[in-house]
Amino acid sequence: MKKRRFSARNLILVYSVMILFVIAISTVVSIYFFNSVKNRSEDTGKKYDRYYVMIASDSQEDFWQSIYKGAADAGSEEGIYVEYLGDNLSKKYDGKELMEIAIASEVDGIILYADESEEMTELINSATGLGIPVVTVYGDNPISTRCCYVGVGSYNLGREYGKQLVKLAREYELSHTTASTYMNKQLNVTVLVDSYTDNSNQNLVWSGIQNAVDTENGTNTKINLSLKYLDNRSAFSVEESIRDIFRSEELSDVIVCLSETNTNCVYQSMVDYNRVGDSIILGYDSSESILRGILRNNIYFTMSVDTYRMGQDCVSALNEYNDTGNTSQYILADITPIDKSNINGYMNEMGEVLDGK
Amino acid sequence: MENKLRLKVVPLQLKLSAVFIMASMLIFIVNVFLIFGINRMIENMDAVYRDNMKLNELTVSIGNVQDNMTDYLNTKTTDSLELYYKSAQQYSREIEDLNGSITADNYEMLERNIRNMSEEYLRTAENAIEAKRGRNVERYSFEYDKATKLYDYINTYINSLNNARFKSNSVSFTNLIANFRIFELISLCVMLAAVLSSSLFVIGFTGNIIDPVKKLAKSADEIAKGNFEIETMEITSRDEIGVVTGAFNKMVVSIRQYIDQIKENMEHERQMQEKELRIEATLKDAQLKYLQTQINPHFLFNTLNAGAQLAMMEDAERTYDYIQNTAEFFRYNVREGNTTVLLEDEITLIDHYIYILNVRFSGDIKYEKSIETDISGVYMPSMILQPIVENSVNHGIKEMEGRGRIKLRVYHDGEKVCVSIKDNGIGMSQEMIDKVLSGELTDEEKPAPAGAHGIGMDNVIKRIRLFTDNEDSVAIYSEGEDKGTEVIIRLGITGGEADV
Repeated sequence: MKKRRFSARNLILVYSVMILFVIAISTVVSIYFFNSVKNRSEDTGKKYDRYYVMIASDSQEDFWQSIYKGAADAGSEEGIYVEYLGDNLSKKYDGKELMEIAIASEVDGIILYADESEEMTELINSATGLGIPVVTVYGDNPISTRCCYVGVGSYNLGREYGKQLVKLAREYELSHTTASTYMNKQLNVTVLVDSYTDNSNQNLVWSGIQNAVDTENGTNTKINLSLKYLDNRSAFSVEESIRDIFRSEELSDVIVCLSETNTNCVYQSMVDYNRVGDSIILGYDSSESILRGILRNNIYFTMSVDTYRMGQDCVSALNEYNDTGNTSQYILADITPIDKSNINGYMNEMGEVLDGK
Repeated sequence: MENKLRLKVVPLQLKLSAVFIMASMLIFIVNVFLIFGINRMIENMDAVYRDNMKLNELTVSIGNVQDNMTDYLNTKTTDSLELYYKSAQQYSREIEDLNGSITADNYEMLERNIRNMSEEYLRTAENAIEAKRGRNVERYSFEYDKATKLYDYINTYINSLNNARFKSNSVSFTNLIANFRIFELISLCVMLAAVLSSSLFVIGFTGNIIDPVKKLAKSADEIAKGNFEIETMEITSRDEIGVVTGAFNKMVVSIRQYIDQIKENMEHERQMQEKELRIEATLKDAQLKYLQTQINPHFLFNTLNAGAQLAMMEDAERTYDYIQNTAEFFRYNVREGNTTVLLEDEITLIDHYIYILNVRFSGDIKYEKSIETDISGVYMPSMILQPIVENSVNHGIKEMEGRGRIKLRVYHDGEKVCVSIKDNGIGMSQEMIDKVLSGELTDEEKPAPAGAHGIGMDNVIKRIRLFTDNEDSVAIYSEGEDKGTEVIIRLGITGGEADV
């Protein structure tokens, strides 16, 4: 008898397998699609105990980003969510408005780049009055009830610049033996400062520079210090002011910049106007472009502030205040001078720190 | 095995229905899955922009609060106050849905801030209203400014959140659309697979059901052609087809049995007939032997011999001849054993017999003998010719008083030697001849066995037929009443010595 192809039992088996197959496919596909829709809200599970906000002038600057990163990292380790306030809003607000927002939002702590205006003082006072501790960073408002200031010692910073100027004068003396400038024995230095500020930092830096130059210049070269005010009242006016310098004026021998933006602008203008080598730049902060400038010998020197650490200090000061009701009034950040001689070591160090994170 | 059998007790209708239902089920399941998937997709698409709609509602609500507050501060009407309270209530209800906890999610933090600011805003607005009622102009304008600022901040926040949500939702939506395309493709494949597999399944299963029917049809065809030697079919299922197959198997076996039985019966009947014939023959033989031994033939023969010698001594020659012939006649009869004899011995016996009769009936019988061929070596059964001649004498010429004639003629006819005994007696009707030849003569019609040798014609005919193995070896001719009878016996030249 011819053998049949399927027995009834086999067919039932085949049928069951088919059903299972269909169910399996449906399950897999369902899971796949469920996940694809769901994945967008994955982080939301994590809850935080406290909510700090950071309010600073320019959120794009590396300087501030680094501070924020330090604060955010320090915060997330201790269950604190730190937000760079205004960063994700559709409208730009200034520091005072952001303060109002922070107060109305009932945050647990504010890290503020303060100025010394009366309004700011009032806002800080009203915040602390509502139980919201305020830590000022980089810019202080000492007469307010802020609990702590985390920043750079501006006077010391100025002295550091001053020392570098003296060092430059010495080198200048040695190298310019025949040039006419040598005959004058004058080193013209321009310090770029903001024309409009409520902050005393600039003044302190200026004093520091003057002091260092006066006391430590043992050379025959006279260091001629001058201030150049940059118009900072509107958004891009600083950059325009710097370009004006390069366009119209005889450049001084040394240009001292006191912010990251200024340093970058001066450096860029110098390249654009083909005046590399005409002036020596003393920069500020250690953003990547500035470090690159040093490596290429276009920037003589910069001051690196440990901004990451500053951010961490802000959070720990707020925590301390929230927990104990008290914290130290001043926390000063480390400043490191960087020039051609130590840049490689510094970059390696930074690389390690970044890798470590 | 038992389990398997139990499994198979399924009527055909149920089986076919099951096949259909199973195939439909498969496709149904696939469809349900597809519908479910599509529903889910639509739901997701819907959800994508639900957040945005909620936020837009929020904007409208806070706008109402602000407008109504401003209106009241402007006009101080009870209507606007009522509207303010309503809208404030509505707004505070709405912000309750917003997230209030601190999480790492940007959107939720925005929500939290909106919520807190809104609460502050409502408080401020309330203060402004209170101050207006208390006519504290300085206070209410201060609170109003504050509220307006907050209103601006909240709107910015809502807008920011709305934008951010919309951005991420757009990404989600794009993903969703892409997924939907993939889903479509997969669905199509699954659908195709389902249709293909259920078709295969149906073909397989119906084939399984139809297969026994095909076999049954083939077997039935074989039977119709007369071939009963087919194998019995395996019963694979217990459905109606199984029942029919079983019945068919039984039928085939029964038919085969009946045929065998009929064949056996026929064989048996044939054997019975043969046996009956043999019994009859032997009976006759026994009867003959019995008759032969009724008198002691040796005694008679010796007695007759003694009489012959006595007649010789008394010189009575005719008596001597007579007794001598009689003695010879009886001696032929008392021969032991051999029932097959030479033709010439039979003819000699006739000579003796005729002689005796002529003495008895004083020469009334004219006997003519004509041997026209060589008869040496021709055999035939004994006691054949004498009864025929006796019959002729008894029924033919006994009453004719001297006119009676008997003519014996032996001649060649082809391969046969023919012995013809013809008388001119009363003759026979054709009907009678047929009856005699077919052995259908009843006992009344038979002439009574006359004398000692009462061997009937039917016995003679049967024996000759048996001996020659030929139905036509005896023939009787008569032209009618009083026109005499001729009996012709055809013998093979080498008739064989078969024992008859």
